[in-house]
Amino acid sequence: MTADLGLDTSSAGASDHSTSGAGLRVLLVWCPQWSVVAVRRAQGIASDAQLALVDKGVVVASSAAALEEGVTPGLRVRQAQHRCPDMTVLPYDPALELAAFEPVMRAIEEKVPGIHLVRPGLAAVRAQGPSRFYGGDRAAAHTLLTHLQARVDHPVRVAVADGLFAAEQAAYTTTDDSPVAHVPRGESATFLAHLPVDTLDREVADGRMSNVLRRMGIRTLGDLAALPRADVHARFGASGLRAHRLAGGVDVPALAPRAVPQDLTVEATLDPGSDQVEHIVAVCQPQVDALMSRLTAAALLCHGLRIVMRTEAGRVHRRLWQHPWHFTANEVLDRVRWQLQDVAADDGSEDDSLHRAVVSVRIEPESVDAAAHHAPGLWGDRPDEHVVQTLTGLQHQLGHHGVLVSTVSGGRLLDERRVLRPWGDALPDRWERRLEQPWPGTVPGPAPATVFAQARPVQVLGADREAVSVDDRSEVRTPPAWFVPTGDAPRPVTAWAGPWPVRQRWWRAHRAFNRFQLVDGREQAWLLLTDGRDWWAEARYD
Amino acid sequence: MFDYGEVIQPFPDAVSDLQEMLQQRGTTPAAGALPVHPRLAPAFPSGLRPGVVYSLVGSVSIALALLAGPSQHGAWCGVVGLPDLGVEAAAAWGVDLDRLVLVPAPEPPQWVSTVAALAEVAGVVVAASPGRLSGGEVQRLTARLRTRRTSLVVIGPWERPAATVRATTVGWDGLAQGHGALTRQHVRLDITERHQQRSCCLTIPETP
Repeated sequence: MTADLGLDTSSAGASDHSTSGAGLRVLLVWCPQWSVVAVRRAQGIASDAQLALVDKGVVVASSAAALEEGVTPGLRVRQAQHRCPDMTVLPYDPALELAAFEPVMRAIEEKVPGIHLVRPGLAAVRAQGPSRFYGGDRAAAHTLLTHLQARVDHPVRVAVADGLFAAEQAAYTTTDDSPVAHVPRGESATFLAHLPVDTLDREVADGRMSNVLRRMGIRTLGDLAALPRADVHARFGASGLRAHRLAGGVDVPALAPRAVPQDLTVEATLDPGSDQVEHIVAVCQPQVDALMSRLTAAALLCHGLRIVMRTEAGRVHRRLWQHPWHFTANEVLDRVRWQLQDVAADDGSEDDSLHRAVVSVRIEPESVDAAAHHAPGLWGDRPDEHVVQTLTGLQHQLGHHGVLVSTVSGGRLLDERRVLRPWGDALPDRWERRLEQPWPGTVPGPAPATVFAQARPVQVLGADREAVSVDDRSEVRTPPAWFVPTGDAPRPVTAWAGPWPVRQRWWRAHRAFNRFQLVDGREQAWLLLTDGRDWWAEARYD
Repeated sequence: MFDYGEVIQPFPDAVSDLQEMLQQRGTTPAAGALPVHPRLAPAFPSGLRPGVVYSLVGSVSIALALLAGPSQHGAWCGVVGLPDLGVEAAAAWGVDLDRLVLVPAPEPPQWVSTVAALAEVAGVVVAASPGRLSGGEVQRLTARLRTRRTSLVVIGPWERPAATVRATTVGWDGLAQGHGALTRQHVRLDITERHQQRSCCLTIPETP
């Protein structure tokens, strides 16, 4: 089962501490194709499906079935789809991979403590401790493998070598039939010698180095390691020095045991389930208090949390709540209450009672920050306590969406440029607002003081009292002469301009609009939208 | 022998009426007046009087301009009953959106309590006219505004306002027959305050 990759297998073993100058002994766990596996599990895609993950238009990872069709990482999406037309293309999501790898990390930690996460799908640990405990590198590797195979329903490979780089390369040589690779102590340089210099690409900062080396006639790591280190350093700088060390198998990685994040999640269970909002909130209160005291004990503040509610019928309601500053216990309970009310509204309930009883409420803090970063007065952007209390009280009276805060964001239609959020919810930040972007098609001149949330249907008539129409080429057949606001008498048009095309999201069959600016006989100025036939008032200058 | 309690019994209504009368006569000094936007300074030479109700007819822009002055001086502002408020126009006048609270559509019975709650925190509240209010509600609200020194600008009619501001658009610049774009608005403000009328003309924005 073990693939011995070194030349001399007899020298391997836990008792071998003789060699020096070699790198740190590393025990490495590798889950092949982890990006694909993680996404497949999250999306429920069959294991033999053709799947590619793309980032910035380039394939990052592809499933075995897609690989057979020639979809290799590094290919452009269009090219990949040309090779494999039925393939599912999904965005590459590192956060999802990391979350999916968490159970594997936990399983490893049951056997070996102090693991270092290299990247999702690849975890390393110093081999010295486990080797001594389990009686040798190979015994440790096999123990870990057997344990993981029982716990993880996915192929797992284990490698032991000097240095992280050698261990990783050794892991890549494993197969399903021999999932353990073992490079004896001091043999890493020999093992690495025949590998091409391309393998260094991921490890060193200078991406062009392997290309230059190849053109110099240095094709394998062995060739590189044979060069004097000082010369490589002189030619390639720090990257060259690192490459030379890696090629020579004297890599001493800093393996930082990961700090296990404290699980702050609290859950209130109701047995039997309840359909009364206030009762559920009351049951949650001790849990929320416990959460708050845990946060305080850890000197943390929470400004984003996810509330997950399960109903008796098995339905799950999830919602992420963001806070502009940080949550207090009462504010968390408010969020629970509002979410329950939304669940009730979704069920079509008239009053606040729920149709389906809720059996559990889980509160998962999503983003926490050290309290020291939020010392009062440092930013000065948190409003006074009495302002917060008064407005929150008003919000209790009027409902969650009764009290709003606002900001301006980028967009073409004026209603899109106005962002309204309930008081206590975080507004989009500068990057999400994209206000600096050019937004061709925005209205020039002063901003109108009244922007209708729902564009109001109006009529624009020509001198012959026929509706004015705009054709596909944005040409006006008859100049507007009469303007009829909603439920009002016709007014003469004294000045007008247009059409100004608003072309956006044509790929989503969004209707193409033309804008008109118009001043009527009562000196009221309007901003109108038309799709060619029908007219709406978008805003009024008043 | 004498019932002193009867004599020193304060008459809350009478006292507040007297205070209001003093304020309306202008015998109280203008100290503590809320600042107004520099463009509105000709129309409100002594600033906005705190704790009183202004009635504004004819322009939402002027309401936003009235918010801008106190907002730039760090006050919170409230807007009640204007679901179609152009937030961008408010920002253009210089209203700090971080300190602007919108209550877009309160139910008519909750109008007074909403304005009263906002008066607790805001320097100026702009509110769409609620329609008819009972005399008691109006008195309670004006008393609250006076103690909190919050000005209320009602868009629409109001019984016995401290001042009525009537905005009339005189003309528009920049738009012609089929070409151009609106650049400037010419507004005339007619302000009736203490039975005296004054007018001034404004160009919004000052420079196109």
